[in-house]
Amino acid sequence: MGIESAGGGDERGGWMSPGSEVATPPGPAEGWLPPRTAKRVLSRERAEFLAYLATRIVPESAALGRVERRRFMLIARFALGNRPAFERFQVRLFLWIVQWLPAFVTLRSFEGLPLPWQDAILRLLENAPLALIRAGFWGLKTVIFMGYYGQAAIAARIRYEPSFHGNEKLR
Amino acid sequence: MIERAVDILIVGSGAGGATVAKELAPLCRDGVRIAVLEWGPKLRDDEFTGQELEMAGKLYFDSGGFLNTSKTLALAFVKAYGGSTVAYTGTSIAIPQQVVERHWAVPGLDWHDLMRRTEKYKAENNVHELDDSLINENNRLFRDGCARYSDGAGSRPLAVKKFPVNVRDCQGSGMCNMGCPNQAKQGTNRVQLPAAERQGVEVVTNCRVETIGEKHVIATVRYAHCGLPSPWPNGRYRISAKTIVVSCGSVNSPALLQRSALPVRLPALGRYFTCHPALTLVAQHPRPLVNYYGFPKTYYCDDFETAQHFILETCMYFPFTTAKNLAGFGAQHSAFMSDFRRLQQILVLVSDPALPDNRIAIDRDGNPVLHYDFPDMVLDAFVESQKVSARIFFAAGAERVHAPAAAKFAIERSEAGELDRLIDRRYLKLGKISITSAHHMGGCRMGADPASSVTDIWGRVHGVPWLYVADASLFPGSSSVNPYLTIMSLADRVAEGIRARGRELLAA
Repeated sequence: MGIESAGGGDERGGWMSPGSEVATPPGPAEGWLPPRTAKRVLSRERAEFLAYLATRIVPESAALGRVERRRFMLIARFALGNRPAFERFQVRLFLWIVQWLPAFVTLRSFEGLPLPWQDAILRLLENAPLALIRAGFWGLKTVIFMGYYGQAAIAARIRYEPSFHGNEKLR
Repeated sequence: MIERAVDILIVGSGAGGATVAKELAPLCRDGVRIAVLEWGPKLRDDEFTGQELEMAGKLYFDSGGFLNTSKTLALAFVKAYGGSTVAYTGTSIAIPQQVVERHWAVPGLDWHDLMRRTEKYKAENNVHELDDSLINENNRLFRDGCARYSDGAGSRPLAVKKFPVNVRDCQGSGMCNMGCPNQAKQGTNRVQLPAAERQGVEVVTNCRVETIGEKHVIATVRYAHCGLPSPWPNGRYRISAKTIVVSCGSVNSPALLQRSALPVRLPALGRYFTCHPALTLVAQHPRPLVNYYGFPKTYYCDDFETAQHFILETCMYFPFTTAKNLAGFGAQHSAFMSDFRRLQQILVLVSDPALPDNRIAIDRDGNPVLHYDFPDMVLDAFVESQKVSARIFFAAGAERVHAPAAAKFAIERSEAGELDRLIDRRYLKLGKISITSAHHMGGCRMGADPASSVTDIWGRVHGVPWLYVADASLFPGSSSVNPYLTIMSLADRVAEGIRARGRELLAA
């Protein structure tokens, strides 16, 4: 995934048709985006790192197009902006730790490490002895999954195409 | 501050509050003024869009992710006209006799009395079993897997029961937990609240009650950026009432009472919180299924409830929710998510004990804070239930199973004989896995002793004759089943108690 600062693009709030950027009436086939008024929680650097981390959590996110990348960041911003202040602080702190903790041992930030090392660090965090560390990692994963799988176009890509009249598909 | 006055004020419009409102509504004919104050909005029918993130934000507190202090448990509950009945699945099970008589054991609370009331609401809310032609493959595979169930002791078919559900003209959108887009689910937003309003009860949406004082509440009305406007203008209100009924659910009712200056000491307030904690288990089949079309929750199995304290239910959640329910990340996670149609899901719910230290408190701003630690028996039940579910999945034809308490991300079909080794308590790591809850109970438990309970068996707060509670916070312990019918039955008792004391309460 490339580097996109939250709110730096030209996305609008309200109803969006995934391809056309034209406001459309609501329905399950249409995409939804949070309003751009969502509170900005991460600095540009932390937002860029979150986008990078997403490529390790959901590898396909590295291939997202420009619009989908912006949507990812907009959703992440929305998700974080709605959390209590202390949790927002914890997320910022946790992102910083993930990015810079490796530097104490390797003199390189997380992104500078070989990919297998990066994954090994993430596995360590997910299985850390302290529940608070594990929960912090789960929180980051959740934001990333929300930004990725919360997009209607991506849900359709994994063949989730809901219908208000699902019983018709049972016949 | 805007002044208002009513006779009976009900705070909350979910299964409890709406039931009390509808039961007391005939009093409006005699000039009794009744109002329901609901924190959330009343959404228009076309605002139920089925969009996962949008509806989570519109309906749920903290978008469905209200966390305990150790961040190992996420609660889902709704603020909207109809409360959490807007977003439940509508599964309608009566509380088992042994739970009321042996576990709750509240003197004067009779299971048969609850059943009489439960039957009333089953009829009122159109509870019935779905026709077999409307059962999708995710549900049928659970039934078939249970029928072919086998463990180390050999073949042992599990008993599967069909959920009674409260839908009318269900179109099978599968979006129950986001609010039915077809208005098929018969929650209180469709049945009890409209009935109460027709008789003269006023329902005030977008109205957050801050505190309760001596026969009044302080509340704020503020437009919620969605839904219909509140019937009251934006502003801060002081609403006086002769009787107040608190029905905000097991998180917000104890919090509201704690931040209010009540004239009594209630040592049990907020305590004995239970939540029927749940894990979603996911398996991958070799072929696409018809899994997310149709009603999502048709069958359950309670064979393990008595001995091992868990039940299994069918379920089918949405892409983001499913992704976060899987432990792990990276390529193996993506491979599981790559074709949603190949997934089968089972929900495990564990009956947790009511413990005094599992409690709702409030922070400095008066917001609810959940202190909840998982007892060992709950964690043991989670481990055992994952083994059982894995066997059901494999018996149903799954090629691999994801169990969060397993030694590896996915257990292959070829490893089905090694489940006891691969799924083990040492791999169950709180914080790593996504334990959720939608069945919150306790916090204002009913009972005879003010030292260990908050209300009497009619929901009246000990020592405060004009103050009642009518929601799941009354439960002395876990209901062990989906709780909404029991909430309505208890609320029906509360309404009966208020009617019986009507002259005294309304003359005050």
